[in-house]
Amino acid sequence: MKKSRKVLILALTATFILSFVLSGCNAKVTEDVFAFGTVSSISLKGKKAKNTVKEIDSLFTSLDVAFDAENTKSDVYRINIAKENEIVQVSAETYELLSIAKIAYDETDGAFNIATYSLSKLWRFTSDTFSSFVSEIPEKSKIDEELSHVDLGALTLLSDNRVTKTDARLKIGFGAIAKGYAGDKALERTVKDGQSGILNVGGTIFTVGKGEYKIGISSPRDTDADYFGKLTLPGNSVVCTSGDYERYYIVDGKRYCHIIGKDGYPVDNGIVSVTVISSDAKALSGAFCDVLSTAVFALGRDKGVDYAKRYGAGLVIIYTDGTYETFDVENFELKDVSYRKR
Amino acid sequence: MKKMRDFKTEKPFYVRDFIAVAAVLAVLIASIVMLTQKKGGTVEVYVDGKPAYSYSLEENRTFTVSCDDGVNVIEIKDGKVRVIDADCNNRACVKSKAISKKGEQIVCLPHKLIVVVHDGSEGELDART
Repeated sequence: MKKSRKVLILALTATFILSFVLSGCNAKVTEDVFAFGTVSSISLKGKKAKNTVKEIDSLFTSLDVAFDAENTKSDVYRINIAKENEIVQVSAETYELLSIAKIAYDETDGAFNIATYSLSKLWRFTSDTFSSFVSEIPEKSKIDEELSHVDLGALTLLSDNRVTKTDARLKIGFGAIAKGYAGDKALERTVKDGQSGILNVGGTIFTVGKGEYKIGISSPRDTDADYFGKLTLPGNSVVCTSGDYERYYIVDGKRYCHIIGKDGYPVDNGIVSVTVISSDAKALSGAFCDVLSTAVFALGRDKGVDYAKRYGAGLVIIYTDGTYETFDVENFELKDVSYRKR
Repeated sequence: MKKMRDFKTEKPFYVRDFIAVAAVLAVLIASIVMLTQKKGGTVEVYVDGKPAYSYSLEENRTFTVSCDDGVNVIEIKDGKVRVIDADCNNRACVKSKAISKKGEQIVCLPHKLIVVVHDGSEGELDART
């Protein structure tokens, strides 16, 4: 009797301690990071999740310094103020991001263009100039003038992480791709096997590790629905959205969104938002998902869908007429019934 | 003789056993209750990544959050929360629609302020894009 009681106590104590330790291990660690002109929410569980979240925080902070066009210490700032044919030494990360941006620029015939920074500034869509309450749009002459300095072909990538440009007035911004790239690096460098959770880098979402994740696509307009639709995805997926409802303003009843088209004006082609889904973050990276969402938005439906197909991306496109389409997407569930299938 | 000794030494243990088992059970029950408890929504306000305010979504109130760069005026009304005024440069937070569901958030980037709803209804999403 005595022995069995001791065993019982031991067993209970062990269960108690074990459950305590296990719950400690599995505790979700969540942190918000302000970087890339947005807020990111990092939420991980698993062994050493706390360390990983801290590492991601400092990784994002350092990438933000390198990529912020308004920060005088950044690579981007130094490229933007460089004179004609001046050689600028940049970090390996900036160099890699420039390579991706140049590929996308060539493949989309200039529809995806990181060199519209001066135009974005003129239109007041950069972080330092943006306002939700703008009363007038820029003059056409000013737009046309900036439009003659947006050829990304004027930027050349040299060896050893050096770059140069033939147009001193060419200015770039990484706003369209920094988030996805930062998420890619976080996955590569900090996330360990066995960890799981979500890296939501300002709307570019990475699912990590085992499990099933429910990702909501926001309703682009103020409807009664909680959100537009739901994607159910396994780990190692990436989802991101480019829409006309995040950074926009309305002047004289017309909506102007932050994505600048080849004509120097905010894109206005009947698309409200483009959500890109990668089912394998290693095959189709976060940086390229970011490229695709902006590119499809700027290219318009037909060309955009073709371009996304080349990379095997899934798409959810919402149109201004209240319709939507999905391409190569499984497990999508419409929530906002004010929209109908096109 | 043997029986006597056993009885004497076992009795105090019996009491301790009971206390130990009761304690473990109490902790177990308490944690189950805490895990399954359904709370109404709460509004959490973070400034520069740190929690600053936490209020019930069920009680109407208007409050002002001050940070180094300025102020945001936040209104909780009829189960929804929104930013009704701010002196930041872009006022995107004021333009944001009222939120009420778990995980929804309003962000004021210039003030590094986040208003987020926790533990409300329909918390069926892991993230939003």
